[in-house]
Amino acid sequence: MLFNSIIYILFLSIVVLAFYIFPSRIRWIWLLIASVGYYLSFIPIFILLLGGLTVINYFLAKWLAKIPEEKTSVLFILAILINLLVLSFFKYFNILFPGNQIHLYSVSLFIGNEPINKMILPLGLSYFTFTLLSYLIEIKRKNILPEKHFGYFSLYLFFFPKIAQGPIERPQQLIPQLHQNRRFNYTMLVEGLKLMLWGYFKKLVVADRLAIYVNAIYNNSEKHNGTTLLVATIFYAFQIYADFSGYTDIARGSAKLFGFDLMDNFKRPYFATSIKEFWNRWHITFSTWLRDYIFLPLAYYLSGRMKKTSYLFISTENWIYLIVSITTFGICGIWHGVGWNYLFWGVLFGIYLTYSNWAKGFHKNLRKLLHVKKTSPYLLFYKMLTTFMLVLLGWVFFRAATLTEATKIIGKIFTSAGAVFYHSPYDLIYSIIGILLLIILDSKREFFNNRFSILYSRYQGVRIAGIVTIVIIILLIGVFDGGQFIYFQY
Amino acid sequence: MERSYINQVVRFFLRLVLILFLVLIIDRGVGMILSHYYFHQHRGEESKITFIIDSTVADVVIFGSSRADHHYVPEIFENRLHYSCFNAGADGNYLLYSYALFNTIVKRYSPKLIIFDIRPYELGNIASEYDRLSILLPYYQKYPEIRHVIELRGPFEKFKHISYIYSYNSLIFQILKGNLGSGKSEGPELKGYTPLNKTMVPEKIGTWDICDIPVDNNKVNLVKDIISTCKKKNIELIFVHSPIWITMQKSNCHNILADICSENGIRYIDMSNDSTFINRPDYFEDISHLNDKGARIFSNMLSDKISHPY
Repeated sequence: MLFNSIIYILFLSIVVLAFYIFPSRIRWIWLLIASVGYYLSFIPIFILLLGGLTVINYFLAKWLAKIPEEKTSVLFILAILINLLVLSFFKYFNILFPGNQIHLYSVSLFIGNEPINKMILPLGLSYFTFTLLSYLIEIKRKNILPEKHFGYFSLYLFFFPKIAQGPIERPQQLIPQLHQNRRFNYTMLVEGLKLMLWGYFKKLVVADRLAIYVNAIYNNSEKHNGTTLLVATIFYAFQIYADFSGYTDIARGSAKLFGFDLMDNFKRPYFATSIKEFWNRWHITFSTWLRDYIFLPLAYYLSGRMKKTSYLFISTENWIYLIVSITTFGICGIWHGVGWNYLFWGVLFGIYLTYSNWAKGFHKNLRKLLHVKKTSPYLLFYKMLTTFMLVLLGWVFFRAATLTEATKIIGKIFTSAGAVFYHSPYDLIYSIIGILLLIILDSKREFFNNRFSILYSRYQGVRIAGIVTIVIIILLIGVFDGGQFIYFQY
Repeated sequence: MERSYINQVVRFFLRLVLILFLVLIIDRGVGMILSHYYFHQHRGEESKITFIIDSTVADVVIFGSSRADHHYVPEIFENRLHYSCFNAGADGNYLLYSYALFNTIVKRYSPKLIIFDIRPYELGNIASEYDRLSILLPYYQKYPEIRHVIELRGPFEKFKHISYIYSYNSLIFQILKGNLGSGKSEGPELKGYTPLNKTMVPEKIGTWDICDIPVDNNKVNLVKDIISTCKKKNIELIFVHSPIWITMQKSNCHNILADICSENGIRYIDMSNDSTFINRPDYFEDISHLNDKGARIFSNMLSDKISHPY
């Protein structure tokens, strides 16, 4: 039951309607049933795995909070290891057992069962595991107490708008909301629907349209020239952004219909003026997870261990930044997929961050030398463009099937010019229209946040006209045969 | 229940109804405009489909994908068989599409001969072929005889057609192009045939292993329906596998089709690896398609086989 399917809209309508009809004390049960039902609509057998993890972690967390502090470390490490081992087992199953004969079945209410003849990563397991780790770490840090109510704990993990693809919710953020009595709230409901509409626009009009060209080119990259590959890579940058942020908008919008606020994942990342800022705007719940649970603790640990002021003429602070950045982003790469290209993609961002940190002083001096103000629009534009190009380079590794293919594509981009390939000019035109609409609307939010608002205009007529226009644009140029969301596989 | 609470609920539903009503009105208006201009196109792929559905009265009609479109020269069939002929092949569209067009044609009249160009895995279950049926969406409202084919796309297809715009999704520029320029159709003298003029760079003859494509029962039923309709209407029917550069492994799908044909006394002509075309790159534009030179030779050979069956 993908978010971009009619069955999801029907499912959501029924669940929301019943949620407000049921008395508040049993609403959590209804939401939990709906969430489990939602999960069962993919590959049902995996519910046993997620259910098992829920039970184990519920008791581990309670135990962790109960035992004396000096004894928590062993249990904590054990708990973390259990979750990571399960995730790794499924993530690397096909490498550990090549040629396995696992038979799974996906379910479709109206089509029937469809066989899958290889092991695939259980839907949402990465997000589920990271949510659990976050929960355990926060308990270990004594920032929260373990949730006593097994039902609410399960709902925190299984809540259907976020189970498949995040946002990776922190326990402090979501669990208290689950306990609160939710009443029908007109403003929240309307806001949720608008967010969903915007999400569908990004997914159907932009992401799925761009996917047609990107898939055609990247699936036959050896046959295309550098110009075509460059265009496909630029398209991919917008495709993945529109796809994932579109999904997040639909997820957040769906949650708002029940009165819950999920964390935001994207803040117009291609307007970032540095790689650091890019990660503050891209997949925010994941990047902050990495920051809070890997980057900062590791930096803190190393600063306690590396006593000298410098090593090999490089300051300790710089060494720590290098080690921590590369480790954190290496993990980020591995989390995204099995393959050297993903690891390289992650490490590349670690290198970017280290360079920008080490060269901070140099850039400052250069700016002063050239008499360029920090707030100069030209400088900001230049920084925005270079950041985008560096991110673009990373996307080649992310999208290519292997590291070798990625290096070949980059080689071609720099050496083999030629005419841009297209099968149908219309796909290119619709793709460019989609990108332009996305850039215009994002620019408006980035630079003129409180002005020229359409969906949030103070005039009701403008708001309604805006909603109707977006629906008509989706019907006119949206792609309705598009596939699943890119981040489902991670 | 508090009054303000009820007010909020009522307000929400009233706004929702208002927005849905506005969407419906605009959808109808825009959809009708698009429909008008769609069916008035005089060039492009869409105008060919409309012509096939509405106007063709040829004695011989050829159905199939791009391989039909580029392999069958109507002029040669006309000269050799002394029947009028139209090539209804279309790039990237296969049995499901051909079946829909077949239905519209046999509802209007009975051609003397129908040729289906097929691939050995024609009856295979290939999801993208259902997506490709989107090319027929504009005909859903107007031609009830093809609705059941379009509805094979998914369980919600009929509900999607509540929207008028949906049928013309992503067609604005095609409609614009089809309505601009001269009023004369593109290449009417070719009768649906699109010649390819390049010659392929010789490459090693590979093998396509297509044995593991599962059989699509929908398609098996469609083939049976085509055969029974042709029998009822006394239309001669031939399934043809035209030449290809690659050596094809015979698949389950191929065997099933051959069996159905033999059970029903329908001719199945397999020229996929005919010796005339083997190792002749000058007859091909690429591994799947004959060029005009190859197409003319093939059309002559096939006409011979049709006129002299034994």
